[in-house]
Amino acid sequence: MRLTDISTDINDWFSGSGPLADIVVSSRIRLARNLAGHKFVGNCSDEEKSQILAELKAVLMSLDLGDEVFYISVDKASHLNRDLLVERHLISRHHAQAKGPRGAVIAKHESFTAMLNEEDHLRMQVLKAG
Amino acid sequence: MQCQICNKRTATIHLTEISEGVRTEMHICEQCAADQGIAAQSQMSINELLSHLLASQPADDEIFGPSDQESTCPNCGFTLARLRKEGMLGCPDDYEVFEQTLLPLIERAHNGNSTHCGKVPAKTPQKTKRLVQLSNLRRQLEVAVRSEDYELAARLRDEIKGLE
Repeated sequence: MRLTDISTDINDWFSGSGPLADIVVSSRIRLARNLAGHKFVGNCSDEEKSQILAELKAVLMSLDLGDEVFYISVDKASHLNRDLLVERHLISRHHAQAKGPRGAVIAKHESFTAMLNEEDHLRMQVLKAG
Repeated sequence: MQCQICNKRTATIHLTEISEGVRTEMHICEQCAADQGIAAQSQMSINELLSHLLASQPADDEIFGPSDQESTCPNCGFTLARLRKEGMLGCPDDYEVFEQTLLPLIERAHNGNSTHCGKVPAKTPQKTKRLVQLSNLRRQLEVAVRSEDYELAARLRDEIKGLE
């Protein structure tokens, strides 16, 4: 899976195929959580952020999310790629511009995204049509 | 929209006058306004507007309490000064360390509530549902007592007793 695939895909959530599609285009649920036993992101050293990142990435990548899932190391991604993710509402502008180890787990059809080490350790969103 | 006086130029000045309960609107161009002696003036300068807005914001001390309450979280080294500056906490322990400062802030941000009092998901365990219900009833009881509606207060008190 390459990031460029996302740029040419038409997102499922915008397909108009969900329940009550004549009224509701899409629905999004967001959930933010912090791991116990760690400092909050704004107060973390880069070392601790890397630990949190590794811990969360391992768990998220092992889940069956019903779609092909890939991981992007946001701090190492190019500006162009970060902008693409922001424009597709897959990561926040804050996440694109922040500093230190951080990442994103994204399902191929964009129905699931998780930002790792944004303002919280884990910020997830689920996006579906209808 | 065309000027109501010359019927040629675009109306850029919109006047609304309410006199003795009757509202009249007038849309005219700048030139006709000048001819009529109507000066287009903003009611308040930007600086004036900004200083009014800033004056209505609570000062730091009002939000966070007097600044001499300096304390440090033994777990993460976070200080109240940083909370003031960054608006975010350093670790989960900070909620307890800075509880006295945080409680009024949380209440202010949530209409005077510091515990959840909204909807509860259907799958929530009965115990949690009961706790939320109890806290809602206690709040209603407080309001009933304050407004001297003792009949309602008695009913609420019985309901609370039943749940406890």
